[in-house]
Order: sequence, then C-alpha cells, then structure tokens
Amino acid sequence: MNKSFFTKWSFLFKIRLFFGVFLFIIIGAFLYFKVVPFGQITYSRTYPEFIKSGKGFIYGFTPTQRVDLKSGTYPKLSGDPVYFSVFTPRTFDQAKLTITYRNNLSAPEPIIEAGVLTDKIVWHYDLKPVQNDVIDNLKKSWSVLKNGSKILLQKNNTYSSWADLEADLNKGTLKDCPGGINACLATYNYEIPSFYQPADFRNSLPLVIDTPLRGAHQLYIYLNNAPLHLEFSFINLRQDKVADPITVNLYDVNDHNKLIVTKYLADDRKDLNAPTADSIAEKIIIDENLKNGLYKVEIKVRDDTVIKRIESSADKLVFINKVWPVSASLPLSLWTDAPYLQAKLYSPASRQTINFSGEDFILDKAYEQTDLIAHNPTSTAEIKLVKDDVILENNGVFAFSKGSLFNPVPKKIDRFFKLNNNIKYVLADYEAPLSYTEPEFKTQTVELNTKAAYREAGKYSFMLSIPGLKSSDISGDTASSADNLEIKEIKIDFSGRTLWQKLFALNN
Amino acid sequence: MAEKFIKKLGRTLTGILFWRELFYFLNVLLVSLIILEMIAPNIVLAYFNINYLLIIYIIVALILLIVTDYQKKSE
Repeated sequence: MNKSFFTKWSFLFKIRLFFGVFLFIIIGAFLYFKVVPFGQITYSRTYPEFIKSGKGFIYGFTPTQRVDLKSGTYPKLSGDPVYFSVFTPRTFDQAKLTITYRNNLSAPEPIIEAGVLTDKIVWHYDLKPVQNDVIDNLKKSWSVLKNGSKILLQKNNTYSSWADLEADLNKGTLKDCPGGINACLATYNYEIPSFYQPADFRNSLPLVIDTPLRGAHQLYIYLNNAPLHLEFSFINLRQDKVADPITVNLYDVNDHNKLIVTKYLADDRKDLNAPTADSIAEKIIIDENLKNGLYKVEIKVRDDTVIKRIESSADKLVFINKVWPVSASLPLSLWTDAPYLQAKLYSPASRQTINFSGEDFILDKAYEQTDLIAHNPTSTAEIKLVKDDVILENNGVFAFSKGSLFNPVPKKIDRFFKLNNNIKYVLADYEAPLSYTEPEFKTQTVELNTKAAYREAGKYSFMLSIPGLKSSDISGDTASSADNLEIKEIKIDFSGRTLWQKLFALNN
Repeated sequence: MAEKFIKKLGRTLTGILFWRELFYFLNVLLVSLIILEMIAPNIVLAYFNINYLLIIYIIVALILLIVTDYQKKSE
C-alpha cells in the first residue's frame, strides 16, 4: 500500500468509506450483543446511579412500597418479597447472581434468599440461600464437616467423613438417631433420599376430601398394598380473563422425585374476554399400579380454579406447606405438625378467631399474613377455623384428620426454626457470604438454573426474599422500616449455548 | 463570534461536504437502529438511548442548514 493509492481517492469517497465502516461496526456490535455468539454475558447494576446511557438490563425493584430509594445512598429493601426483572436478548441456561449488600436486619429476619421465577401458574421461585444466620450461628458452637458447598453441623462430633454420612443417608439412618432420621435431622436447601415408612403398617384405605381447596396444592401420599387411584374434581371459577390450565404431576419420592405421570387439561376458552358467568367443572383421574412407598402429587392451577373434591385410594395423604380451604362456609378442623402457622384472609368476611394448638388467635386483617406461634408446641397441632377462605401456610404438612397426618421429610430450617434437644444434625447446601472490600458490606453468589425459568417479553423475573421483613408503613409512597437490606450492586453472569452449538443442534 | 464559528465550520467546500455526509450518516444510523429495535425489541435501547442520537442529529442538521446558508450568501 503506498501513499498515492489513498490520495487517488476523492474526499467524498474517503468520508463515505469511513462512515460506512463506522455504521457497519455499530450495527455489528448491536447484533453481536443480541446473538451473544459465545454464550456468555454479564449484566450489572450498581447503586447509586448517575447517568445511564440506556435503559439497562436489570430493572428496578418492585413493589415500590417495599423499597426506600430516598433516605440513603443505596436502595433499602424493607419488605418481603422484592422482585426485579432482567431483560436478556436471548435465552440462557444458567445465571450466576451476585449481590453486594449491607445487612441491617435483626434477629427475626435471619434468612435472605434469592431466586428466579420458574412457574408463573403457581408463582414459584427457585430460591437459593444468600445468608442464613441460623446456620452461621450454629457453626460457632457445633462441629462442622464440609464437602464443597455442602455442610454437616453436628451437635456431637459423630461423623468425621462425608462418605460415612452419605452411606448412612442412603440406608435411611443416622448414627445416634434411634427415633429415625426425621427426629434428629434438620435440613436447609438440601434434599436427602427418602426412606419414609409410617409407624403403622396397615393397608391403605380409601379417602375422600370434600372440602373445596383453592389454587395450587402439593400432596404427599403414602401407598401401602393398594393400587393408586386419584380423582380430582375441579371447578374453574372463570372470574378473571386469563387462561386456567390444570396440570397434575405424580412423582416417586423414593426414586429421586422421578416424574411418573402428568395429566393436563387445557383451558378451552377461545375468547378469554368473552363474558362467562358460569363456572366449569373438570376432572382428572390417575390410575397407576405402583409399589408401596411415598409419592408426591403436584396440582398446578391458578387461584381461579378450585379443587372441589379429592378421592384417593390411600388415606395417608397430607398437603405440603399450604392449604387453602374455601367456599364451604362451615367450621373446619385441620391438623399440622409445625409449631407455627401463617394465616392470610382472602376476604374481610373471613375475619375470625382461629384456634391453633389450643390457643385462640384473632385474625382481623384481610389480605395480610399473620404469624401464629404456638406457645406449647406439640408434634400434632389442631387448627379450628370458624369460617374458611383462609390461606394457611407453614413449613410442615396439613391433614384433614389426625390419623392421616404424617411428615416424611426432616424439618426444614426457616425463620421460625428453634433448636431442640432432639436435633443432632443439620445438613445444608450453603456457604456464608463473603466480606466485601467496603466494611459492613457482604457479597454472595447464587447459581440459578434459567433453563427451567419462566421468561416473558424477554425478561426473567428474580426475587429477593427476606422472610418476616415487613414494611412498617406500607400505606405511604415508600417504606420506612428500621430493618432493611441495602443493595449496592447486582451482577448477573449468564451462560448458555454458543452460536455454534445452536447451529449444530439445528443441523441435527 | 457566532459568524466566526460558522465560518470555521464550513469555510471550504469539503467542510460543507463533511457536514452533509455526517447528516446522511446519522440519517442512516438512526433508521437502522430504529429498524433493529423493531426487529429485536430492547436490544438497542438497553445499551443506548436513541434520544441522545436524535439530539446530535438535530444539532448536525441545524449546523448544515446554517453552513449551507452562509455558503450561498458568500457566493
């Protein structure tokens, strides 16, 4: 290339060439960030923000009533939960969410979790631990056995090798646990193989639950010498203009929650906006010849659908974590194994005095969750409702009769967890957050599976959960709570298939 | 002062040429980014606010008008 070659070009040609190349680079750069050909990209948002070149990828926290953006340098989360969505130009398989935060929380809020929305119908977030003070405090007094991010806390130093522990867990036993695993083990973010066998080995008997239940529910069923027959009658209330599909999944808990059968009923409404005053009845029947053991049923419906009746060939049937009896307008009695209850009234008409574990609690606030804590907890507590239409939740199970109640899984550590003399082990998949360069700040990275995550309009929905954190003023524009979590930075490393892997898969 | 500045911007024919080509370039860039945004929503706006480009576009268009007008008057 010599100098005369360029001097032959006119000024107009040179300037057009320059702008042409520049245009090509700009368009190419935007296309590159759209395709993300190497499958990896990082988006971040740092507070406080000054000038933004674009809208960014990580959107603001919602609902705004639970976030204080005015009183400090950093946004203060003062309610639970708080959501934020992240726009991605394509799908990814995994997200590493790194949060840098300052913890201004007190003892009633020992747990911080973060997760991604995986199911919009039942509004389920796959939550992973950010900080768990219960475990961090226990680490100081109990002996610790680590295996990567997995941790075993022992009251007495019984296990010195992780292999011994796993061998015992796979046999369904633990050393120094005469009452069985469930009596002396508590877990957090850790699934152990289930070897549950009820104390009474009688054959399964038929069971009918006539109490209508609203929304999604999960059940454990213990089957003993009977074929499995499950019949669910649904009523689609059709009060909203959203499609209401029904999915029922049956899992084998003894076989690592393997999916056995899935039944699906689509919402056949052609025009969701058309006025439909009448509710529609639908039915799902599951008939399977299964071996004796524990099975889990997942009923995935929106809150517009009521499970009117459940018929089961096995009477050992419990509802996991949540039950929402509705529309019977009659007093109701349920049983649970947890020492606390979280009750939420769905309508002001359901205000009442509820009897839980022999104590009376007044429920006078509609739409707001009330914590009911038994002062004399027992292994089985009765819940007496004067009226239904109350959402009852805890980390245990619920049954409509004392004889049906059983809990096949160990206690899970939540904010209500109280260490008793029986608990000798705590198993968790959790690593404490790291200290940040600035004092008082901590940073934690959680790995989330976005392959199974729900994505709408190019956005993943994330949640930051601080159970128990309640804004002291939810009526005003912003929250004002002494307990809060200040967010300094959110960074998300997305990874997924490369362009070549996508093309290769297309060719196949 | 302003006249001096305008003189500087479009003193020569190549000066006017530059502003005209820059104006054309911004035209094409703006249309391209809008089309890109229509094809893949948010891909441009997430990184870059097109309003900034629109402001530059308007400024360049005004300069071009002033310079062309000045050139015509001086001829």
